[in-house]
Amino acid sequence: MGSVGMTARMSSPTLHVNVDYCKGCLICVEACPKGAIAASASINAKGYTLPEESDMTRCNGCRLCELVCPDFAIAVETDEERGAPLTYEIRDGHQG
Amino acid sequence: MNTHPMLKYLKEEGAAGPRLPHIMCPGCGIGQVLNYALYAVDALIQEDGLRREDFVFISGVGCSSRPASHYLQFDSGWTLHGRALAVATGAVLANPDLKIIVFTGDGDTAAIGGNHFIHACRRNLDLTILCMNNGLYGMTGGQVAPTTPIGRVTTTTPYGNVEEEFDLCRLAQTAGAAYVARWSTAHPRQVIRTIKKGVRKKGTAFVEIMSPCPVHLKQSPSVMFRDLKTNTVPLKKADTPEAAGLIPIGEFCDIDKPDWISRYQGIIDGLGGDDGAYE
Repeated sequence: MGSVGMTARMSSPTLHVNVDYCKGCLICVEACPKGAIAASASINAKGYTLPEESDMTRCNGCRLCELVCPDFAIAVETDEERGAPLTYEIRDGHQG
Repeated sequence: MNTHPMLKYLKEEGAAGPRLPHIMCPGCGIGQVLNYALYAVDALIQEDGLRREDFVFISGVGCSSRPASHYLQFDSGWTLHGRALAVATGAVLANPDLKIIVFTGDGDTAAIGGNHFIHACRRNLDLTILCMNNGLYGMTGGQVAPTTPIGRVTTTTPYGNVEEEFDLCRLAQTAGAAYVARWSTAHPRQVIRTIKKGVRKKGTAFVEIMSPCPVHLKQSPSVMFRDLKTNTVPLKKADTPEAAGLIPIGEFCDIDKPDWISRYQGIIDGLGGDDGAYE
């Protein structure tokens, strides 16, 4: 017997970096357990290297980057906070 | 949210213009400790029904004291070097209902304010002391401090420090603090849990947080963050041979005993007097 299931899939969280507050210590890159943040090639007005999203599909929204940021410069926005609807994906069931 | 959740507790704008970004160097552990303290205060406001006016932040002088004086949207006091605990003692005696959090550094606590520190612990006043220990005098140029480990090169010990360092947690425990714990800035969730516990504790709670100074120790903040995880060992494993040279972290003591105010109130009640308030 085959079955059909439905998986609610959230799109990836969004990373916000305040370019005026960030001082480029990159502790967020070191702290991220999933490797979703990386140092970017861009610098801010003071010459500090900014972090950027490297692969936000890996982000599980643990918010450790917000927690360890010494400069209150990074924030993670999930779909729930943005009010975006969940997307659903129909998957074929496996043989029972 | 698209901005940091703790910005609601900070003064982004002051009378003289923007206050943030704050003055601390890139990767400084003090910014992280401020962040953890605000997460703990946020949780206390939500879980215990405390109000913003119930908290008072008091600091002395030094890098570590800057957050309380300049950036917080809370009542705060910026006091004399080493005398944060003396002012905090006055504040808690004047209004025992306040939740007093003292931001202090290792120089403030162990050097110039050493006497205030041991006597605040001895009296078991209802305070929460957050000591950011970077093992040197950061603001004045990276000189050797009472908390500098043996062998560390600083600007005044170019061939390495020869003096033994103070273990502030053991000192606080011996002096009589009710709750003593040590963590590092690489242990955010433990620090937040400990600060919450310290504020709820009736009596002196001393929390030492090993904090990196990337500028004077000349290392990258990421490397120092990683090193704080590998250079520390849980307290219960601190006596094993593998733990030699590592910093023990964890809760050193958690004792239930009456604080100064309870003992004093006991005397007032025993004499059948009023509550001591001036009419």
